Amino acid sequence: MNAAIEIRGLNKYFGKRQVLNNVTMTLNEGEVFGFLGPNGAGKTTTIKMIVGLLAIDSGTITVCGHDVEKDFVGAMECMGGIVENPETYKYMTGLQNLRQYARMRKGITQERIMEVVELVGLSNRINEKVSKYSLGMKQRLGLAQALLHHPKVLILDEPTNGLDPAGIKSLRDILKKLAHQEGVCVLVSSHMMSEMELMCDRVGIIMKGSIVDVKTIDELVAQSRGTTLTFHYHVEKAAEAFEALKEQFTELTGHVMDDTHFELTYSSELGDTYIGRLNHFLFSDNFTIYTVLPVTNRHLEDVFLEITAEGGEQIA
Amino acid sequence: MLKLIYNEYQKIFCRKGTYVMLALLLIGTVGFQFLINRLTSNYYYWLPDQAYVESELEWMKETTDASDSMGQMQIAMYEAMLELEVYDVEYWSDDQSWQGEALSNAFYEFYYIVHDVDEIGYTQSEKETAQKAFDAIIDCIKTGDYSGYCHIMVDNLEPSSYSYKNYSTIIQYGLDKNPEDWRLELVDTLVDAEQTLDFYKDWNEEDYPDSYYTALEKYEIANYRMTNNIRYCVMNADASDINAIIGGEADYTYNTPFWDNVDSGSLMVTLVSIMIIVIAGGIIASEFSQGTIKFLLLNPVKRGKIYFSKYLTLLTLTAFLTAVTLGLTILSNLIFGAEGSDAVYLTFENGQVVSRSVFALTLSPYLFALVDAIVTITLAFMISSFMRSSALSIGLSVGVLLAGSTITAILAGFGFDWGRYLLFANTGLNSIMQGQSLFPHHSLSFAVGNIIVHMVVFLLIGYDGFTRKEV
Repeated sequence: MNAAIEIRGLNKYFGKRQVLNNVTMTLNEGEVFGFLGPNGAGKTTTIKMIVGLLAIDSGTITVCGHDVEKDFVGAMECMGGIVENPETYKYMTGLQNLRQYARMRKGITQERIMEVVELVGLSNRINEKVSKYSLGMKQRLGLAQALLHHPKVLILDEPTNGLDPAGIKSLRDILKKLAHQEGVCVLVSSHMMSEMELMCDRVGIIMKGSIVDVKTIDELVAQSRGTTLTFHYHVEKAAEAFEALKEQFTELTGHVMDDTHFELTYSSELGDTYIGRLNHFLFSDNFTIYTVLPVTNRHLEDVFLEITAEGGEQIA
Repeated sequence: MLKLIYNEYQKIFCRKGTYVMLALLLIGTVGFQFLINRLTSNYYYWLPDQAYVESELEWMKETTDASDSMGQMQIAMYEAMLELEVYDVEYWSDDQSWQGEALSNAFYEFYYIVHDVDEIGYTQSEKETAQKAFDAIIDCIKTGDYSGYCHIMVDNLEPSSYSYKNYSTIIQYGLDKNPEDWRLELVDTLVDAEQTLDFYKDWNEEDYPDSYYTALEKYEIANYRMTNNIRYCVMNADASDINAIIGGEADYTYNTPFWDNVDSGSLMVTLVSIMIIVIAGGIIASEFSQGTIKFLLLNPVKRGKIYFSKYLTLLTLTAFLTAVTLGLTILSNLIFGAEGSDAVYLTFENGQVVSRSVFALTLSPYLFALVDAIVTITLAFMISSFMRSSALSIGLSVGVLLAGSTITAILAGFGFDWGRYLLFANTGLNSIMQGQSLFPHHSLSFAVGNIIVHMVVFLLIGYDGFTRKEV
């Protein structure tokens, strides 16, 4: 895998206040990278420095091999994106807006514009003035603008903001397709862990201007599972079944909830197949099992909060 | 770069406000021309009529003594006026009819001799000749024979007299064939100048005073207009020409309403300048206030290029709208029927009359106004590149413009000579060229140099501010 964005030792001061402290990370081609952090952690600041809106105090950012400071035009040629709100010229139609951006880049045909409009689902409204657009439609227009020139790196700052569930789903599909089939590096920032879980391959968590963790989603999911596993049983004669299990498997804990329901918990070190042994035992002891459901008592949300716990209450 | 400028034009012309301002420019320019066309052509002329002459005559008969021979001559003249139905005899004006003038001459030149009104003692033959001339003039008036009248005057007047020269000049240029010929206006100028030239004709050439050359120029140009039938023209102003001084055109005498109006129309470039200041005030600031700056800068285009394409947009738009103002001014004068669109600019150089285009001449106040507009627009553009609110930016630009010229005027008033280095002491190039600056010995080249330095500084400050700004 080739690196699409390389950030090395990035520092940024607003006056005397340090907002980014030695941020270093590498984003690869063909992945959706989630940039995660509470409000004020430095997500947007980092993104603005990648696209050259803010000056770099120290450190380097390289996009597709082009240094953002030394070769701004080269770096921008392979980037597309939305920073903060998708503000376009309200007094123009969506199409006029897209043509504005098309003129600032090379080789964008009318066909390509219409293709992107179709892709983001704005075909029916593209000739209306942007002042009549909803936030979701502006978000789609912003995405269309970002995709016009087949960017190798796509940077989206809170792109799901204002989108309806269908819009979020289609955005997810578009981003995944771009990354996994066309090898685009997609950087998505958000403070919504649940969204990230569905969309991203890898996440970087930023806190008070420092990167605290970079993990794949799978690693995070494993982390969220914690040290114990809990299952919810729906059976005939719950109390008897629970007692029988506890007698046979002493390491189990749990409790009976009512006549037909009980929950049991065991250490995750016992492995994924352990539950099969439990079910086999109940089955051979002639207990009727209706359903067995895993109980997830820790969401990714909790993991995120745990990682970012130190800065949780006050905006950094 | 061209594509960026195209983008800027699209942004400007997608806004309704632009069209409101364009409409105001149209109304202002055409309305101004409408007003000055109507104001200059609607003078109220009073002409003496039959009732006036009758009442005057009645009053004279009552009050004039029989022994007052001058009074009796007047009574005879007024009776003749009623008989011939020519009433504007004692109406001394450029638009006096030739019949009025002829009747007046018949009495004051010839009736005067026939009746020896002042008892000078004319001989009988002189009286007879005068009687013949008088009768002939009355006949000419009755038959409408202007040419005959002119010839009678030449035949009977003293060759040294002013009137003789007047009528002989009329005959010389063949103007006697048509009393409506506009060239009769030129006869006075021609005869005046000719008399001055005659006066100096025995002098040595090195002793000729300025008035000789002034008269020579006047004579040659009037002669040129006579022979080439050039009714409408623009000439270099005569320092003694009171109309030129009052009209504020210290340099030129516009003998053509059409181009005079076009020249005054350059005032309306101020409207263009105000309009572009409003656009310039917002051209960068509004990108920030609307948040669109982030999309604008998220493109593979250097900020400096965006900055200069915005500036070039303002410059080209200003030049274009100035040209539109000039075009509208010319067009509205054609529509309102101002006379003299075919005028030429006549000068007397090296003993020859040179004819040039008036259009090139009227272009210069527009060019000066354009330069002034560009200076103020550059200032507004610089302010815009620092501001994040377009309203504040426009307000500040207009404020600086108003305060700047006031402060300059105050400095000049208190005699602070360093005030001449301020920008606003050097705008208003047209008046500086005409020597009407607030500061003494203020040359055009100083003003232009000062303006260029200011513009470069403004552009660099704005460039630095815009390219280093954190978004």
